[in-house]
Amino acid sequence: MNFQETAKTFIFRFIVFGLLILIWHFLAGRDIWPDYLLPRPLAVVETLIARFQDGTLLEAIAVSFRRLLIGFGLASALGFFLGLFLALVPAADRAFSPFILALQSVPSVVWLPLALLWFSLGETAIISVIILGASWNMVSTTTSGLKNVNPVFLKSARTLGASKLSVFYRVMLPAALPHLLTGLRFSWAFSWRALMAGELIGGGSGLGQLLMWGRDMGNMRLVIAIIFLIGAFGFITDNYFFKKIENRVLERWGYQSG
Amino acid sequence: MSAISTENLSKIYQKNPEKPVLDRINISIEEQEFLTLLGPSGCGKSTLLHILAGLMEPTSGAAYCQGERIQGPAQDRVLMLQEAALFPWLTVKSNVTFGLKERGIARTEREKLAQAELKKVRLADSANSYPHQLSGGMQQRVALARALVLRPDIILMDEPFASLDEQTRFQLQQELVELWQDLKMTVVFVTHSIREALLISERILVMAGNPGRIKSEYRINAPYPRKPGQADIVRREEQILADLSPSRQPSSRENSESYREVAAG
Repeated sequence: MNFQETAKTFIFRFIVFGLLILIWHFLAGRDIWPDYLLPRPLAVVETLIARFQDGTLLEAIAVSFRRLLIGFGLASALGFFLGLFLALVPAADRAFSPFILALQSVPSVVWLPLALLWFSLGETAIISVIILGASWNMVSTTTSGLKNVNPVFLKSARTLGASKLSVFYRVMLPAALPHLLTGLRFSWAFSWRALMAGELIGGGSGLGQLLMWGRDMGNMRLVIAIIFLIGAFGFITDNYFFKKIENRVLERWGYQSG
Repeated sequence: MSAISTENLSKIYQKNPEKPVLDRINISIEEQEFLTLLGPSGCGKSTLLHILAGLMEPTSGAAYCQGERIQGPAQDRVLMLQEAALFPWLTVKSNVTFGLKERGIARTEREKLAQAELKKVRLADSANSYPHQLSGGMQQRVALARALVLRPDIILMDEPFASLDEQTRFQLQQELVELWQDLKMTVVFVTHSIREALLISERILVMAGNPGRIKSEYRINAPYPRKPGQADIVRREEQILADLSPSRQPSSRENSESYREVAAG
């Protein structure tokens, strides 16, 4: 996409976004719900600024981010090694792949009761929910990425004298890298979701807990402000971090033009 | 001693045990010979080449390289495929040094050798490009350099020029012959194009399918460089075409179609 097109898309999105805010503004003014249930957009922005200034939001973000990084790191590593194992041992893949698929379709919030009973309220429970929610997808992307490496690359490497170990880390891994990155991106999105699910019930002072606190206090301005933050954070990390890396690799690999 | 030989070599796939892909093949290829396996698609020529490369095992019989039984791939017996199969995450230069690194040669030495090899295939300027930035013909040149930099005794080529346009193909055929004369190696070349076989090889083994076997043998004594319109080449072309014609080879429809393809090529 060239610069002009990018600018056009940006302006278009900006207008649509502005219209949606306007509609919200007028709906809130119509007194369908009382103000504390459906606040005006401006009130939400005020809350956002105030909560940033008094430090509550920053602290909540820091707490959540730490959990996210730990959970995502463990989930991706676990998913990668399990996926690697399944790719290298076809019998294990045949035996386990249906379970992995089934586990993938379990929403992470479902793990919460178990996690709470096993680890009681606290960091461990929340992080284990992230791991249980985000690993399985990484397992199957890793397995399929490694198994679908173009056989022509493997043939070439072997005929050029590469040992089995070399074929693996000099050819299979880099050839599967675009796949693995997609896996990581999804794993990140799943982790973020699982984290929010975990925080809604678990203890501490993360974003999810702050949101629940807002609900309990009847403070919908805070609830909406946090929903915005959660959405914005997911969008920004996905679009400006993971997508960027993925595109660069795809370009370099020649799968996508620059 | 022959560079490559086979002894009653057969390949049978379990799902089709009635029709061997290769049926008791006995061939012998001399040191520094340029030999072409010519035949329609599905005659087993590519399978035979993969067995010689050590990437596949015969069902029965054996293949030998310089008297030793072939039991896996080796750097003195490199296979080149129809797709260049360059590693897209490596630069052209790093692709060429791929096999050298396996040998444990130091980096500076590797790069020197790669650069020299790229110069031979006229791609010295593209050393730092990535494969997808090159045309199909250039990619095959890099693949050739990647194989030749290992100075193999034998190079096995599986229709390496089949997907290139006519002009590039002719050019690469000429260059391959020059490199072969220069490096004194054995070339085993697989193609379904009669003309290609005639332009480059010293000896042609014509193969037929169902079951895959060697049907006839031609020795081409015309001096290099050869041109497509040369009288002796044209005469030989007609001879081989007649040899391959469906009337003398009652077989499935699929096969007769590929014979026509050969005739057109």
